Amino acid sequence: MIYEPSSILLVEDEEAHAELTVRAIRKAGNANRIDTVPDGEKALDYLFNRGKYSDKNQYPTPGLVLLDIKLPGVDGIEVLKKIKEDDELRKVPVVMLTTSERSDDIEACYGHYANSYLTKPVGFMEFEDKIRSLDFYWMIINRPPLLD
Amino acid sequence: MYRDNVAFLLLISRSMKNHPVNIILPLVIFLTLSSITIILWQRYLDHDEEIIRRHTQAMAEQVRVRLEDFMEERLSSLEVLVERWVERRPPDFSYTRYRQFAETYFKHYPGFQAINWVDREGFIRWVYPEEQNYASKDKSLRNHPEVALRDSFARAETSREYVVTPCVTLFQGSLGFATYWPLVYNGKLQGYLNGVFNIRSVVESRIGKTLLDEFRLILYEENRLIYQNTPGKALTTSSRSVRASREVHFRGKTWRLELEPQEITAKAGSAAYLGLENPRHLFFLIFGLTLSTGLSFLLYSFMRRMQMYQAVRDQALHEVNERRQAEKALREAEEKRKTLLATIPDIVMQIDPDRIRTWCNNAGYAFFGEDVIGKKGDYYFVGEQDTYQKLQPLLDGREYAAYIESWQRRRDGQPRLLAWWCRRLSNDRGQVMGAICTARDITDQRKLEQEREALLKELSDKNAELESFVYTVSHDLKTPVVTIEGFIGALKEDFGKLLGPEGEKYLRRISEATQKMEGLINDLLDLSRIGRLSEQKTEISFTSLAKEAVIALDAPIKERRITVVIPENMPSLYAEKKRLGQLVDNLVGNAVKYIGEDNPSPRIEFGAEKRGDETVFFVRDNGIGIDKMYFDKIFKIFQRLPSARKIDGTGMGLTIVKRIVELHGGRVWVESEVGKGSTFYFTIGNKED
Repeated sequence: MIYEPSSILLVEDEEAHAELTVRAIRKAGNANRIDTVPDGEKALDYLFNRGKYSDKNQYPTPGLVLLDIKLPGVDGIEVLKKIKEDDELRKVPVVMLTTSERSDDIEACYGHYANSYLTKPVGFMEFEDKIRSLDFYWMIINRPPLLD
Repeated sequence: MYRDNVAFLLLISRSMKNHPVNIILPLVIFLTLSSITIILWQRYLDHDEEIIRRHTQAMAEQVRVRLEDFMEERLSSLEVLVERWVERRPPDFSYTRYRQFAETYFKHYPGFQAINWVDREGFIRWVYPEEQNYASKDKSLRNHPEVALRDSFARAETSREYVVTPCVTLFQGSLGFATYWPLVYNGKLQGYLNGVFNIRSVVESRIGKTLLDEFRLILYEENRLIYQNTPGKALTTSSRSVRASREVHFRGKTWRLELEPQEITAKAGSAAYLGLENPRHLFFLIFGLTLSTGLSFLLYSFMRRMQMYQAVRDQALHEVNERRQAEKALREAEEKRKTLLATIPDIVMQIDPDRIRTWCNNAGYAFFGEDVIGKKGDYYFVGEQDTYQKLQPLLDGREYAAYIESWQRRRDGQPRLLAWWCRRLSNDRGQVMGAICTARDITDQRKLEQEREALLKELSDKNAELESFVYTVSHDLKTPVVTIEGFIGALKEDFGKLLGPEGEKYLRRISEATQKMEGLINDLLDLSRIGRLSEQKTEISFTSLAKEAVIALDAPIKERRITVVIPENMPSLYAEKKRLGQLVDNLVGNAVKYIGEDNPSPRIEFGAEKRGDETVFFVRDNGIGIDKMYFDKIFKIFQRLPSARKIDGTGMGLTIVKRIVELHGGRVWVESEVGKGSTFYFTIGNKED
């Protein structure tokens, strides 16, 4: 089996935020594959290899999911729920990345077995710092699960 | 019935304790009657005695007469004999003649001891009857041993007259007396006829034996006892003696006779005195005393009975009185109850076990109409209802009370919601007699409640909607801010060199504006959170809260050289710690912000004071102060003072403070003077609230 570094799935409706996040991850030195989907529906298609993402070789199960809460249509929490309900997918660490500081949201995410919860800081430097730490922890320090 | 009797007896015995039976009157009666009995008895005795006395007197008289007659007869006979003796011429003093006379006399006149002839010399020559009087024959009277006899004879000799001797012991030995009859013829004393009497013979030949058995007879001659029929027994000396005395006179002799009934004299003493020896007397006494005792006892019983009846009557009167008072109290209570029930605006209704309305107050008539009594409850029901099901446990005796809400028709036909509070009504045997209910028309109240609830729900919904809106807006606002900030950073990083100083300045302006917007958004988020989020309230020391707030603002405080005064041991607050921290932070932050740039001795002071029941906390500064016209305005959202233009701020700090305080049931207000400083006061509701 050829080692393939695990990819990151970024679910973010705000294009600018997605761009900033990817920029920050790259800047942190991570060259792994990062796929971005703009809503929950597409995220689920991607993860369950449905629709245009049906080719599992082309769209393998990611090693980390960065998930925003506020999404058009199917929202982040719904996506999280689906991931954690699936026997295979639930192994994938899901980091919530959101501007929401609502305790209800925090509660709901951990209630559906989110692996981490991060808020997007307003300041550029802080944002970059946070993403760098996230990448460092989940992609380097953390031992990801073994996936098929 | 039995119980009644027992109760009656108990009642009487209780009453009798208060009325001790008067024993004095019966006692007095007893004593009086006894005394009367004794007096009567005494009089009875006296009467008896009187009879005896009279009898004795009569007997004594008889004895006297008999003795006097007897002696007169004997002496007259002797006198006749003397005359007959000398009537012959010459007188015949022959023994033969004497003997003839004496024999005849002795035979015909019993009672003589002897009839003697005495010669001139005083010798007793002839004696008749000789065999009995032999001792006296030929004895000389002149030499008689008895002086009295000798003297008498001498007197007869001298006087030649009849002489009788005192009683003396005769020659014969017995007690008696003699009579001398001188026989004178032709002036010459011829001798003496001598009649000798034995007293015993005299008495016993003349006084019947019966009398002598019945009475004691005693004869005295000049205090000398000359006869007694019961020798050796003295007469009674008692004052009660019924003795009779008489003087017996005959020819020169006087005797005193004493007569006394044998019975009394024989049984003299206390027994005789009391008459106890006589069963008749004793019976009288005993009968009298028994009668007195009986009467007294009867009287006592009668009085006791009277007292008992009196006690019963008193008790009855007392009870009647009590009942009268009770009735009066009852009437008053009834009047009071009527008035009370009339004044009650609620309906008061009594129903019987069949749910028929049997009684109601004025409010009841006013509501249901004048014909309400006698109607069943369901007559007034409007629509389906469970009133009877709810009432059933009460009428079955399973429950004491019930609360029922029921739609019922008012007299004007309008359906009204009545709240019924019902209580079971039982008689003293525990039988359910129905129920007493009060009812209140709660239609309007219910309507109001429902309206209020609807309003409250609407308000709460609106509030939630608003908060959700604020939150969403804040969140959505934050997203572009993150983007702007992010790209400013990226721009600087990637194209910083191409921008030049002017470009960087513009970028800085954009960044500042973005940060200000972020501050606004954060405050808005905070504000929206205050209503939505809450944590457990705890005891928090105001002193430590103040210290924490000052530490957080350490940098500006040091920079401005502000003196901070935090008293130790300030009272604690019972509140949500995070919110209270936010509140104090805001107040201290404001104080620092508005301390005044040219303030020579800036100072911030914390404090707490007791005002009435509540504790008032304050944060005081000597900063720029606030005009009175803004005191209310500063607590409103986005309101900032004209003087604060140059100072950073979102205009939400005091709004947040106010919301926190209000959420804790407290108040916040300010006292301030422009140029002198401001004091912000707040209170926090009590722990119990």
